[in-house]
Amino acid sequence: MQLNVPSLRASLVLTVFAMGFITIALAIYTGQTYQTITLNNQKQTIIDRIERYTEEALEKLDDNLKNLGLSLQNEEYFRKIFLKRQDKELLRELNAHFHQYFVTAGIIDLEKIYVYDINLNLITQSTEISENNFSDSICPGIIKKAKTRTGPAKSVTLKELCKHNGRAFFSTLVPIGSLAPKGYLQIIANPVHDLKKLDQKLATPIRISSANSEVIHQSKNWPDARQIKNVLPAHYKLHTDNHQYVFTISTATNLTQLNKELDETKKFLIITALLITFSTMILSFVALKKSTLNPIKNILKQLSDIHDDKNKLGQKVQVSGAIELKELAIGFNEIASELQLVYQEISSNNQLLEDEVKERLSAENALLRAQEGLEDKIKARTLELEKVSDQAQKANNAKSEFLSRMSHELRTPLNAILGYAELLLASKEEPLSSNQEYKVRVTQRAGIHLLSLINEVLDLSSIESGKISIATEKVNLENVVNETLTLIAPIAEKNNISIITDLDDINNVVIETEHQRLKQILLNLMTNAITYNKENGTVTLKINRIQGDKLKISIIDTGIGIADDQLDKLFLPFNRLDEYKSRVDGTGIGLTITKSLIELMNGEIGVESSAGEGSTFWVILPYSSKSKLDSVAPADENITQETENKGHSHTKVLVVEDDEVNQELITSLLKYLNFDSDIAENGSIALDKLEHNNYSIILMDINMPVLNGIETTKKIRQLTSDKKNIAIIALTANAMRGDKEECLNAGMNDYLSKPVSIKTLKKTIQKWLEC
Amino acid sequence: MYKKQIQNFLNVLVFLSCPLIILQPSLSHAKGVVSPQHIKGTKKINAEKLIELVSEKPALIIIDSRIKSDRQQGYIETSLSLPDGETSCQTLSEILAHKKSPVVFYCNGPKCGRSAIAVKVAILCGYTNTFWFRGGFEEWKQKKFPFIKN
Repeated sequence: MQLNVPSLRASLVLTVFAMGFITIALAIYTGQTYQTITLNNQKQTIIDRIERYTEEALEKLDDNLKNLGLSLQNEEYFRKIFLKRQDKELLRELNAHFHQYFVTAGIIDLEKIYVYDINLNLITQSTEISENNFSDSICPGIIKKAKTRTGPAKSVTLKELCKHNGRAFFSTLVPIGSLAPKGYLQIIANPVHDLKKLDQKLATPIRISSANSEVIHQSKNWPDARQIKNVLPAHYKLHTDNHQYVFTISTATNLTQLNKELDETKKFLIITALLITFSTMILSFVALKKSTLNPIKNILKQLSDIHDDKNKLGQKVQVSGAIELKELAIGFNEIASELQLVYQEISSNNQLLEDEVKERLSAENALLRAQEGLEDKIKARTLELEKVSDQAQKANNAKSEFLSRMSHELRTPLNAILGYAELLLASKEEPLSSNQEYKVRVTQRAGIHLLSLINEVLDLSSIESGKISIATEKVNLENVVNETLTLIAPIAEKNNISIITDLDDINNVVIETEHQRLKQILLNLMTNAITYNKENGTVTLKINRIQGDKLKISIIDTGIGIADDQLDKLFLPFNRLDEYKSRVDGTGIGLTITKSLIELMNGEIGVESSAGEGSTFWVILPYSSKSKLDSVAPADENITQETENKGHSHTKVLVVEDDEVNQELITSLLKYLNFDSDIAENGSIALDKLEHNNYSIILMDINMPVLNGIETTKKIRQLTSDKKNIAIIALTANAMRGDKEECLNAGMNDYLSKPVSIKTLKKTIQKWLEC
Repeated sequence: MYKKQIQNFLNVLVFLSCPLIILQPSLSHAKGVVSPQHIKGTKKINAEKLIELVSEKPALIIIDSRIKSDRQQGYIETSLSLPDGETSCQTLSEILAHKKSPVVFYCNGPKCGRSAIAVKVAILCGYTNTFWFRGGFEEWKQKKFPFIKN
């Protein structure tokens, strides 16, 4: 616990006050004790004095009695009647003397006179009436004692204080015929009479009380109860020679004067103590101020000065006061001068620092200004970038639009080229010469290649612009594989490549993905494996389930492999393996599209290759083993199926098409397929014709003047007649993704993309006619 | 004849020595001289012996050598007052029946030289049965023997 130490001044005050308090208390105590001791002493002195004066008084009484006795026995007459034993005379003489003393003298309060013979036998006694008359002898003790004496001692006078009937008596025995005693005289007196005058000697009132507390005598000025407080009582007990208590002599000394003196003494003591305390305090303060407080004040003032103005560090504190404080002041001065040096150094450093701070501040301000400029610049740049971004987006959109348009515009003439080439080859009425047939087939092959190029470019464009998405349908993997193998078989055969399959149980394996796209992926990879293979090589298709819910499809070829530096570039667009550039046709975007599609399916594609030994392309796709196939999608069995071209003469097809070339081509194709056809240049005309004729089916172009295919279809579906349910098949060069959906949403039944092959057209028309 | 001559001589001697003797107490007082313990030719006694002497020798004369004023304080009963200054062969012969008469001298006490002087005078005068109560009245009083006071 920490004590709260008071200030030096307060400590001193406390100390001095404590000392003063103790001194005063001591003074009071001393005064009180002194008073008590004084009073006790006084009392003892008074008792001593009473004793002494009592003894004196009794001695005086004894002298008087002796004188009385001796002068009586010395009288010639008395001695004569005594010796002659003339008892009557003796009695008369005694009484006369008694009377003389009793009446006249008054010095003694005489009680009795006895006369004894030499053997202390009582001869006679005074009969003069005193205050008391006793029948028996008073104070016989003295006689008993006298009887024991022998020789010269018989002459000795005796005295005794005795008690008789509760009263005090003083008796003296004197010999008759002193040097040669013939008898004795016993004189008895009342001692109280002699003690009454003690008050004058003691200068204080007295009271004599008997053994049974009866007041025998009391001075006139004996204090009453009221005054008794201010009185010092003293008691002296008087005893007989044989130690019997006779009476008490009490005094009542007036203490007024004494108390006054004692009080004055006490007062003096206290005042002295107070004076000592105050003078000590003042002296202490003066000494403290000079030795301690002033030096401390000086140091404190200097500290405060230094606090206000550091330049005052150089000033010295006056060295004064107590030794310790002198040392403190010297130490303070030393420290101050050291601090001064330090302060000067700091000041100069501070100046440097201030300068630096100023510099930094200005630099910071400049920086702030620059920052503001920077922010502005960033804003401007951001705006610019936004602009650029917008422009890029616009450019991208423009590119997509361009591609779309290109696709459309390319397809329309291609449709005609391929269509007519097919018609030429298919015509049985005008068979071509072998030379002609070869030329037409080259034309057809070039057209097909062009078409595939257009399709791939279109796909890539769609993927890049994010327009493509994978539909989720439940796809039977086995079906997809079978379709792919069927499609790939002719190509493999042509290239002398054997297809090996290493398949797990993929029966009933269902993948939620888009059938067509999955097939596209497999075809692409298989085609690549066949194309980039050795003569008489093999392509292995391996499918196994990994990690429970994943499917790994591996396509392993025995080709020349891919160099490590080529592997990275493999999936980039328009990047074809150098060795094959000259040999193999292709756009070089097939793998790019494949990769993009796989990623859209949440899958992965990778390649492992070692040059000269072949490559392994693997694809990992997620699949749900739980999913079950609701309905098995029908295999595209009709692809190779030859169908009867005849028997459709009753069917009339309305071709809504604005392009004349296409009008002619479709009409020719329909004619080849034995369908009657009617042409409408636009939707409006088509609606008009539909109203007036009966058609089995409508082939609807989309992009048309006046009323396009979408709107036309919508209007047809809104018709009130039965004709609103007519099958409408879109036949358009709009091959971009989303076009098909738009058509179907508008109410069309099916969708065919230009250029359309004879087979596809026939199959589709037959499909909707059967409905 | 021869005796008478000696007697005269002694008287002259006493007479001549009187002033000296008279002066002596004052001298002794002045010097604080205490009475001698013994005086040749006399018998020193105390108070009790005095009492005994009284019964032994009924003819015993007790001489109080003090001056009158001292005697007023009290005196031994039957004593005769003869201050030392008045003590001479003449006065003694008036009191004492013959030279062999028993006689006791006393004064106030040991510090009082009067009884000593009186005893010497009595010896010089030829008294042979002298007693000197050296303790004197002081001792008497102190031992509570009765005394007469007028």
